[in-house]
Amino acid sequence: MRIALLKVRRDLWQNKGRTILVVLSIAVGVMAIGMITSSNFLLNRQMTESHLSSNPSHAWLYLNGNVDESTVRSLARTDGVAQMEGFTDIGVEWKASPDGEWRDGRIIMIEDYDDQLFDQFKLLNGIWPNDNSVAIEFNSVAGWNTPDVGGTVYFNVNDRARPMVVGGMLRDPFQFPPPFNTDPAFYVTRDVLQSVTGVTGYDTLRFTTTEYSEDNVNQISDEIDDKLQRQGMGVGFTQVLHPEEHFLQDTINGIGLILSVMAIASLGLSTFLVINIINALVTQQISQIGIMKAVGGVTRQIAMLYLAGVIVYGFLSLLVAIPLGALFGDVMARWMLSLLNVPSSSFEVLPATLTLQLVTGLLTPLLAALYPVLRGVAIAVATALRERGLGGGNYGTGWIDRLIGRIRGLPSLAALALRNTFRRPARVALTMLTLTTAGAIFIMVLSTQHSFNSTIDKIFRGFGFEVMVGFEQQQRVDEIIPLIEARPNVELAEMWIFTSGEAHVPGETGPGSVHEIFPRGVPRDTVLFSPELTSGRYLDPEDGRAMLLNQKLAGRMDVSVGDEIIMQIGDGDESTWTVVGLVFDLAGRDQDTAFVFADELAEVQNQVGRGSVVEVRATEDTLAMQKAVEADLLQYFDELGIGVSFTDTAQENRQQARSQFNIITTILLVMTILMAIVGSIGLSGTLSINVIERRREIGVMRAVGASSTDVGRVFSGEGLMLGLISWAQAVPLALLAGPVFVRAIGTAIDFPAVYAPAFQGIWIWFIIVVVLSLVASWLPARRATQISVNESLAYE
Amino acid sequence: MAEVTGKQVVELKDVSKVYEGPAGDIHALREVNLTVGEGEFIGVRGPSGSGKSTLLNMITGIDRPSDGQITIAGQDIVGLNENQLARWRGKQVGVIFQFFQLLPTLTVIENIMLPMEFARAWKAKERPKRAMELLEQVDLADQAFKLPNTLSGGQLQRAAIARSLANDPPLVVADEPTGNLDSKTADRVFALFEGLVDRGVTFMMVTHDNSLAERFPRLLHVADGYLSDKNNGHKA
Repeated sequence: MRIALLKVRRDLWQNKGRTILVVLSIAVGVMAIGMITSSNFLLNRQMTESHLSSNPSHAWLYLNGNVDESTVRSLARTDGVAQMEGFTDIGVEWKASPDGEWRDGRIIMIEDYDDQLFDQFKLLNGIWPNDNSVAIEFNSVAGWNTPDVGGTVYFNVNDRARPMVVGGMLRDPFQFPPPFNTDPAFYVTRDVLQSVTGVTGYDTLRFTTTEYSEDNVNQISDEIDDKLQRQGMGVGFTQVLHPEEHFLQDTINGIGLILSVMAIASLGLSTFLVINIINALVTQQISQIGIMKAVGGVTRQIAMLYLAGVIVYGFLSLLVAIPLGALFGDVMARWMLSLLNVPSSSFEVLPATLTLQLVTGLLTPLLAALYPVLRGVAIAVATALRERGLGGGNYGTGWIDRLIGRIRGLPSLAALALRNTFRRPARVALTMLTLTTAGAIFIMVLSTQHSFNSTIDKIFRGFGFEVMVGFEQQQRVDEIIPLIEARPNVELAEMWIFTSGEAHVPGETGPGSVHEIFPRGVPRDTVLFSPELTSGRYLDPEDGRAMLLNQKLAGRMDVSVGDEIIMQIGDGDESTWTVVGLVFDLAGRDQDTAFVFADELAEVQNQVGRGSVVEVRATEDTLAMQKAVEADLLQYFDELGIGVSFTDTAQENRQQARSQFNIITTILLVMTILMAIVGSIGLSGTLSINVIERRREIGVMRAVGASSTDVGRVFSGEGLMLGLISWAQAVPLALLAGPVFVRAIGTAIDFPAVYAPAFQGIWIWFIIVVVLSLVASWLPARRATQISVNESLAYE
Repeated sequence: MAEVTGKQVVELKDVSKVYEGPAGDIHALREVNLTVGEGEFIGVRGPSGSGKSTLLNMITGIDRPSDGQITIAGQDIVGLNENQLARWRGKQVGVIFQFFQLLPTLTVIENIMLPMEFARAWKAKERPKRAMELLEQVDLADQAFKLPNTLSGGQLQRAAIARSLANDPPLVVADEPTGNLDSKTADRVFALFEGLVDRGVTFMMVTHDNSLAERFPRLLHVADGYLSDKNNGHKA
């Protein structure tokens, strides 16, 4: 088959435009597969490596109070505990210059930085913290403009700026850059911790078990809790960590799944393009197939010839797809790893990805081409040799042709463009499929972003506050509220109770039955609180111990509306509450909030008439106003000598929540852009094929007086027509499938957003598709205008 | 029917061909009987649409009869499937088309070697030599490595003739091979055909050219699907 293969080679070389189209069509899909599989692989590998290399603990116990080193050593002797280490993480105010403004930060302390047991920090630059210097988490410098190594940071110690040299920079696997974190982290020794905050002990215990299992960890946590209760303390919350899986593995798996689906969709769309182009190529070569058959070529030999060409297309596409897939996969993995604070590895081409790309790059086009090739070469030799000249074919016999034929009164060129568009219904359908799918996904991705944002807005609207101030000690409601409402720019204020405790379903005991819960006490006459319910009803002023439970916690506890749960706050008595509704709330450590009437909660806590958090509505819902009110209240409470533990503004919280979800929609948009590229390659390919097929028609048009502009307009018009029709199909498809798409993404990332279609996405895609259509048709149209009468009417 | 002496190369018995068209059935051939002996040089004439090309397509196995029996070089070809026909044709029949039909992406010599490859005729090493010999026979050796689009009409047709002889077939069939050539070139090409016949090849060709038609020892006339033989004038 040496000569036959020469034909393959020259066909590819002499039709460079077509070859490039096919190669790009395959390459985009194969590149997407490579990009996603390599980024998924790199993410998982680096996360696991980073997790394992930090010598992960099995649990973090957040304590209701502080313990000293000897208590830690004593608790470390609890049955089942392998090793235990104390850890402190508390809020601090800092600034980068003596005359700067105080900002929130975290101060973190462990006993011995040179001999860390768990979740180890890695020193990147400078020295470990000592009594004269602190270290800083490396994300803090870029994220919050903290001083770099060698600079000075100022901590608020009794309203005075205490300077500390930044001596080192480290990586803490549990700290994230913004927007996944709100404050920078500073690392200090015990003495510095004491001098800055007055605290000497640990508020967190980390330990490993002799035999890891979630049940075992929870059991040990209960035992430690019992021991601490005897000292008037307890475990507020237990966070169990899998020793072999990064703590964000589930989230990354969800995102990885979505991206894999989109990569496969891209490959699917590019497969359609290959079918289209090979189909056209075979159709175009029907007379050559006839000749080969006439001189003795059998079907198998001729089919092998075209399939060999397809394999060459596959190989060429791999030359593009492998390096680009590896490169973009690396870029994507680096970006996501940086958000997770996990170190990246150096650039590499992964053997598994390479193998997958080789298989998909060669097999997919081969399978895609199999049907058009086998169908094309099966043509009877007489039929193949009869294919010549104009006026033949079966145009006008199909219902689409007849339908379009009824549209009268159009200018000739417009009619020609319109009728030509549907001359090859199968080809048009495949081209349309790629463009329509790309358009529908684009609109759905924007709807996802809009749904996420509007859900976040609804949540924040539902909680009503604009500025929130938490107190170190519970405050009397009747004293604080009038004071706050008298402050400038404050419209109204409500006193809430924020606390934490444990909850379990009545009758359930044993490991895993107890869940952390963050109850919020809501004033009975609340004006601010009108949350988004996912089921049940709101709290009724007549209710007693009724509860709105976070739907995510409800899922974990397997309770629904009408069920009762038992709650224990600190070491107080257990109390029984009836779940009357489920709410969607992003707050809590893991969306484990519950809303009850403040007076009922205060009674359980023996703190009647007091509250811990004030929620304020300002006269204007702007960030500037919220910041002004926040600053005023901070200063005011400072003057009053009332300790403030935290402040929040709704605008900043909302922005942070939005930023986190925007990262996911950005990744989705990147994949959608890939699909749009596949779509426009498909459109360009279809139009190029049409130009090649209609050389004779173009010649006839030229012969009867068509100018280059006229010829160009026919093909541009055809491209525009296809683009607009695909848009018209994408819109209803996106609106119909949008809710399912948003729900699927929400399920994958554990964010059950309420569907809200982004209608502006429809018009953005309209503009994109018009531009894409014109760009995609430009080259084929230009080629059409360059065909001379002689050339087009000459017979091959 | 003309009397055939020696070995029969072509034998058609009651061959009919009907095409279904939008305006009803078209009878391209009606109960045609024909016998052609080894080494005969036969011309086929007839008005446009009379069935000449259909007749040649029946003989080359390019098309199938609606009815009747066709035996070429001792092989009943009606029962063969497409692939069997292609293999058979590659070895037994050389086909020359009016529009030359050389594959545009192969050089002249490669076009000639292609049927050898398909038929696995000749050893791979021998094929270039064989192709060059054929090109020399048609006086085209100097154009061997050029692509078809650089050749004139006459050169293309000579290349097509060389290709038809690639596997040394006993029968060569040509459909208006001089139709697209000027009279001088047509004359040269015709002389080539005569040379082939002299070497024992059976040759059938369709022509519209009156002056060339005179030069055939035996001339068939096709009209409305009926075949008549000029030598004895009766319906075949």
